[in-house]
Amino acid sequence: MAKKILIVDDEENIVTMVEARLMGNGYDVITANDGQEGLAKARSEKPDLIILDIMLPKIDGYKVCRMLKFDEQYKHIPVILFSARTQDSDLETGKQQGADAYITKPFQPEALLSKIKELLSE
Amino acid sequence: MFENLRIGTRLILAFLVMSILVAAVSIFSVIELNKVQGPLTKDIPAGLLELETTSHLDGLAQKIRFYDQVLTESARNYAQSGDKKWKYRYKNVEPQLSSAIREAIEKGDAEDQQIFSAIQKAKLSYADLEYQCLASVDIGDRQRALAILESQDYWQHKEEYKAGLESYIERRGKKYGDTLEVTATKVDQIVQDTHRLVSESLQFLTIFSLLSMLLAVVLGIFVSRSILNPMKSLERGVEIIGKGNLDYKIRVKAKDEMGRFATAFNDMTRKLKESYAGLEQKVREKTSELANKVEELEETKKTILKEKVVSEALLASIGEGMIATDQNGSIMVMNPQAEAMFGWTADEALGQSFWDVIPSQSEKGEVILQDQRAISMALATGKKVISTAYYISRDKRKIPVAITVSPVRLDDKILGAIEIVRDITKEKEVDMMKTEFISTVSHELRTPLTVIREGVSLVLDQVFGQINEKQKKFLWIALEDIDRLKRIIDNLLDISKIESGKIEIKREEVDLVHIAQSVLATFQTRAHNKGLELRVKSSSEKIEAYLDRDKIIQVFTNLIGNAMKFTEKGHIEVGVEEKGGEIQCYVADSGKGIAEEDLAKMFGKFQQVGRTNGTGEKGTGLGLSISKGIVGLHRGKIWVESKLDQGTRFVFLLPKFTFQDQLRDTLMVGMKEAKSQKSALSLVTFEFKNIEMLRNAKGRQKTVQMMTQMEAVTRNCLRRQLDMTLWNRDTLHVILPTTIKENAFHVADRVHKSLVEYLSKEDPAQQIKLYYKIVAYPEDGSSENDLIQHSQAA
Repeated sequence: MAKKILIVDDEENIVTMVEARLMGNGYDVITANDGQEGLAKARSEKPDLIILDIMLPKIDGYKVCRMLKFDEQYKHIPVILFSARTQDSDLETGKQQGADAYITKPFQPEALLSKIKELLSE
Repeated sequence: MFENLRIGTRLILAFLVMSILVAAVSIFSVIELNKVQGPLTKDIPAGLLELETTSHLDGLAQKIRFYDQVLTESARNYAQSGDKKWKYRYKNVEPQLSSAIREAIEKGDAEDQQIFSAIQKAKLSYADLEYQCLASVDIGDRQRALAILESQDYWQHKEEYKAGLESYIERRGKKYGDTLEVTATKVDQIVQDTHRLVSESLQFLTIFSLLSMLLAVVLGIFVSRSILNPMKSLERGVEIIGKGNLDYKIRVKAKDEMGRFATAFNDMTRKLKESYAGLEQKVREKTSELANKVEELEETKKTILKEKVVSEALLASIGEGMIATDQNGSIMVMNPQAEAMFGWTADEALGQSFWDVIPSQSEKGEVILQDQRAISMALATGKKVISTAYYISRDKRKIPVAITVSPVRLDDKILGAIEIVRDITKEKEVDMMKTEFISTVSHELRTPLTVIREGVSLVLDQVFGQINEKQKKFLWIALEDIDRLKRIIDNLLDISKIESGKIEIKREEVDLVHIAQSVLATFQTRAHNKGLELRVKSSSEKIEAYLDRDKIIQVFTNLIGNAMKFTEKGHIEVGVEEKGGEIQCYVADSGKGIAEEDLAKMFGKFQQVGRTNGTGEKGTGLGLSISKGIVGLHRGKIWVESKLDQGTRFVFLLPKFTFQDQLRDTLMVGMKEAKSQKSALSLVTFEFKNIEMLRNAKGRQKTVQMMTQMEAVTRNCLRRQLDMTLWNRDTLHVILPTTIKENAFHVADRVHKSLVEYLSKEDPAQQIKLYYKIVAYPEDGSSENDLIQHSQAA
């Protein structure tokens, strides 16, 4: 069965691109455009992996990540933080929220795909 | 005339005279007494002796007569009675008679001696016969005895005896009477004479003594008068002058000491009078001068008032808040800006303690204590203090401010301090905005870039179906430049951070040789494809320094990347050499080189010199600028050596900064202050035992992150800007200037608690043990090296 990946990003175009890339590599994709929706979909759909933008309306990516990671039911789902923020402090904060990986935009498709593979095989 | 003699002389004279009188009296007494001596010692005793002798002789004569009778009688009676008692009586008396006669001879004078000798002779003779008589009686021949006594011989001797006695008496009779009389008269005379002598002497001496006493008294009176009278005059005179009559002249006739004293005193009085007159004159002069001065002062007052008004206007016109305090921190002056800033009027604030009126907090909201405030430090050290802080206004707003405190000194005393306060809210906002802007911009630029890239990439990767070669080519070209754009954005971000000073170097111990090798290795494939030789040269196998690893990697990457771009054949050599206190690194290539006129521009922004097509990424034109910035942040130098067609050599120097160096450096500043201010400094060293385990388990990067975090945690516990933290591998150092060992323990305790709390989250297994040790100046050492050594001694 194909793995399900949830993409949460407020930029429609980004979602389109990433979705295309993932689907082109055999993954099922569900999407959300803000933190609140992302959280809801994560809980209801229980994806195998979440790609999470940080700058989100309603609830930002850090919070979403933390909430999922501190929740017994969902902390097992790997979370890749996905952001144009490249500062060390951003990475650090990401780690603190329990994210499993941090990918900066623009990204290398190969890097993203291999990371997903890695996290899904654990 | 007497008065012209010196007082001393007078006294001596007087005493001399009196002594002479006393001596005279004594001498006369002695002389008179001597006169009495004669009679007393010679005449009278002589007379008395004569008397005595005469009477003694008389007595003896009596005895001789009597004894003779006794003898005659005793002999006769014995002869007649034969009673022994008469014999015994004779035997008893006879010796006595002999001795009496002997004595008489002794005691008498020449005539007497003659007489008594005859008597003695007679006695001897008849005594002899008497003895014969006795003897006869003894044998019982009383007749014979009596016959002896009747003999003519016997009676002859007796007659001689008697005759002798009588002649004595005769002589005596005359002499006795005479002598006795004469003697008695003589003695009487002598006694009378003596009497007279004594009374005469007595009289004489009495008169003489009285006269002497009189003389002495008179002399005494004279002398003392001669001294006291002038003295009285002087006393009177001094009193009169003392009461104010400076014209009075003391009159003393004598030319002795008193006279001279009087003269001198008069002189003094005269001079006093003169100087009084002089003084009065001076007082008058001075008073008029004073009047002038008062006038001047009034003028000065007016000028000062004018200046005061001007300076008040100045104060009111400067844009920044100004508060001046005295040496205790009480507010003396507050300008209108400060009033407006903090919501207190100058009147309300005057006299209050600065720290009470304007509290200060740290960024997090912790109260800054009085002795850590800028004014306290300026007052204590006498040095200017420049700092930033958050001040709390009257309405409890937290205002970020930049402050400059200058102490006010007069000679060596600190009178107070002046603090200039600038509200930097706007600046802080701008700063924040800058940071935000940079992040936001880069974020904003990256997002569409991501879309573009992925769009192109998807098509290029034929996710939506096959594409022809031409499509591939052009899409590929597009993709390349999209990536370049990304790199430009990254570099822009770096550059802006470096230039706005927002970048912090995170130093750790790195091996530069290893870094050079590993970066070079990443270019291995590309170099191989181009047929270039890559080599590393180093002065030793391992060269360690305390640097920001990632940034130095960035520099190497940039330089080697550039070398790759501009070298078609030959080699690229990376060198790391230790030169004294510095490490010299270079990237040299055998490429096309750089023209002289372009050399200067190399490190400028967006400089792309002689771009080639071909392998390697297209440059952004910012790489060298960033490298320069990074090297600059490490306080090093970077430059280029090149000649057209002769290759290029980029060199950068980094000061060989070991962790020890940094620690020493940081300590040195604090120690200097402590020594000159005669205060203290404490160094707290936290040791994280078993942190290698963590390093092995979670990797170097994670460990570095942790240490950085713990440094941040430590910083939070420290409330003063002065306090510094440094970490390295497994130790975290906290430097507390002006803190004594005792207080350092409190701080260390606090930090320890926070660190342990942090560790319990990161290392729940509690593998890492945290210890700390405190060394302080001056107890534990007097130099940075001392302290470091001490802190490292287990």
